[in-house]
Parts: sequence; C-alpha cells; structure tokens
Amino acid sequence: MPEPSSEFRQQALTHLDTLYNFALRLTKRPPDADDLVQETYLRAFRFAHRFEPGTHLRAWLFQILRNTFLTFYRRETHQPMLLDKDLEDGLQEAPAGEAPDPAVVTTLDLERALGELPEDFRSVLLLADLEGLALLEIGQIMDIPIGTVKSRLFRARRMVRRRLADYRAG
Amino acid sequence: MDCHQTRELLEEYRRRELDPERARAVEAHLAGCPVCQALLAREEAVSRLIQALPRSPAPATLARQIHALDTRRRSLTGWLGRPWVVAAVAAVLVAAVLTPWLRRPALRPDDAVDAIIQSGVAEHRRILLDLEVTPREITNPTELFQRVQSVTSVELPPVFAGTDELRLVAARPTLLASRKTAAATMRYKAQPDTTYFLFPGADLPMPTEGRVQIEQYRPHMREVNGYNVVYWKQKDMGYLMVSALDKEECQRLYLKVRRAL
Repeated sequence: MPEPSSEFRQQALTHLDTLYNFALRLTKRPPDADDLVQETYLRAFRFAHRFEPGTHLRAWLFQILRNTFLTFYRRETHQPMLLDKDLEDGLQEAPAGEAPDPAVVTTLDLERALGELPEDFRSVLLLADLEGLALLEIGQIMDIPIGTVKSRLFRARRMVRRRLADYRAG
Repeated sequence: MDCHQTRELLEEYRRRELDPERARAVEAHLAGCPVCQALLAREEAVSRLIQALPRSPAPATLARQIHALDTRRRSLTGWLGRPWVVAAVAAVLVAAVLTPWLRRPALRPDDAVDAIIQSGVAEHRRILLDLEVTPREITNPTELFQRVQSVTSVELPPVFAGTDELRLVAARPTLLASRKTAAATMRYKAQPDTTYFLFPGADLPMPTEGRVQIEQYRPHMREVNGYNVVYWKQKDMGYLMVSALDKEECQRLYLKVRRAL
C-alpha cells in the first residue's frame, strides 16, 4: 500500500481545528474528541490511496470522522428521539415557529436545543452553519443528495426554533 | 420564478452558491414576496446564532500525538514490507494459530457483535416508526416468512408466527452490520413491541462480559439507548432481541422464545 506524501499529511492537518471542533460537538467529551480525531487521521493516512485528488479533502476527512463516530462512539452517548412535533414536520407546512430573537437566546439554550437534535440533523446543521461547508461537501460527508441536505437543514433549523421557543415559554 | 422555485434555491442563494443569473431571479422574486422574505429571514436567524457559537480549537498536544502514532504505524508497516519480516511474522502467526496457549485475546473481539447490536437497535426503532404510520394485519405468517427467507436465506421458526399472547406485527428482511437478517416484531399484550433478529452467526463470538443466567441459558444482555437487548447464539445462527420492556419482562420473553426454538 503506498504511503501518503508528507504534503498530503500536512494538508490534512490544516483541518485539525475544524475537525476537533466538530468531534467535540459529536462526542461532547474532550477525551473522546481527542480519540476520535486521532483515529480519523490515522485512518485517513492509512487509506490515503483511496482519496481522489481533485475532490474535497476537508469533506473526505469529515466523512471519515463521522463514520468513525457512528461506528465506535455513538453507542456511549444517548441518541435523542425525535419528538412528535418533529415527525410532523415532514407532513405539514405548519407555522414554523418565529425567528428567534438573538438578543434573548442564550448560548446555553442553543447548545441544549442542538444537543436534543438527532445526530443526522445536528451534523447537517453544524457542518452547514458552524463549519460553513458547501452543500455539495455536506452531501458527500453524509452520503446523501443535495436535496436531502437542504430539507434536513430546513427541518433542523425548524426544530431548533421550536425548542428555543419552548424553553422561553417554560 | 415562483415561490416554490425560489424556496428550492433559497439555501444556495443565502450561501452565495448560485450562479449570477439564478441569484438575480431569486432576488427579483424576493423583492416582491414578503412571505419568501420572511422565510429567508427565519433561516438566516438560526444560521447566524449557530455561526456565533463558541469554537474549541484542538489541544496543542493533539497534532503531536497524531504525528507520533502515525510514525509508529509507518515504521511498523515499513518493517512488515521486508521479505524476511513477512516470513517471520507468518511463522509467528502459524505458531499462534497452532498453539492455542500462545494466542492472545484479539484487541476487540466483540466489535462485530457490538456493530450488530447497534444496528439492531436502530433497525428496531425504524420498524416501530414504520408501524406507527402503516400498521399491518398479518394474515398469513407462513407465506410472509417464506418471502423473507427468499431474500435473506434465513428461516424464521414457527414460534415467531405468534401465540395467543405474543402476536406477530411485522416480519421483514433487513441488514444488520451487512449481514442478511430476518426480523420479526412481536407484540406482547398491550406492551411495547419487541423485535427478534436472526442472522448467520457461525463466525460471531459470544461476549465474555454482560452474560446473565436465565435458567439453563447464559445470553449476553445489556441496555443500549434505553432499549434492552439480548444476544445469543444457537447452532450457526445469531439471535438478537431488542425491546423497550423492562429487564424482567425481557428475560421472560427471551425464555419463551428460546425454549420454542
């Protein structure tokens, strides 16, 4: 198996902070995030020959990270269930909750709302809005078409809005 | 461009991923449509909140740790590439296989079982969601079992056709960690449903941890995401039971089925 070039390694390591940030939000525990990122890089280096030059290295790394997380880490974290009203989202174009007022939303509330989202919605939202990845890259990471990325993003934001509104209402 | 077309492209527009022509078309529609404007503003608001979340940079030691681990891995694979090392490693492996007392336990012998359990719990939840939307009355279990068998090559024993108190509510082919699996979901009185998964398991280990004695049997039992799971092997088959029932009920249902197999 050919070893990756040092240039490949260096380029991959430029995404360390972004990957770590995402890993921490997935695992919620710094030691787990450390392990997850280490494992991601070791896999990336081991399977570097499978990376197709010209495609997004960052998306490829995120994809490895997420797959590793799903395989090894998710069992230890509680996977939230969708609420009934989340399931309704797909069925109706109901009033979607008001736009949250940034002046009154606390980081704590937002973290809680995010934590309550199922992983596939949380990941799409974090990749899109926090990491600023392109829709195409997110599709590659999650292995879903762009249309699905957009509808998940839309539903994830709606779930967040509703939860924020619920917390405010008590 | 109408509202529907605009909404389809709103996310790309917001992120400036549209070509100039389509971006102008979206803009033109937005200028005259307060409903789409409001939609855009709502999306924008959540997006901005999330963008503003605090970020955690990687600890300074992490890059060094990765580098060290990678160097170790490379030196190992480098050595392994040399012919005499290959021969030596092969000899040790042969010796290890031939002399059981040399064998060390594999790093994570239960990974395969873990993967099946994780995927079984996810599949059980999918089945429950599906049953919420499309409950089905099963009139001919035998025929259904045959159809499942034709896809999975796994035969569902008659006990899963149900008894008076344990009723079959779904049977389907599925994949658990890439193994062709037959799934039978049973309802016990008015309690939460339980799914039994059957898959070829000759190569699968029995975990050493988490074994419980239930009469003469000793299956592996644990809780995953709020579900109780029971895993056991019988002949060449692996069995997994996933249920939201409590531990005692689970053990009772396990026995009921185990005895009938």
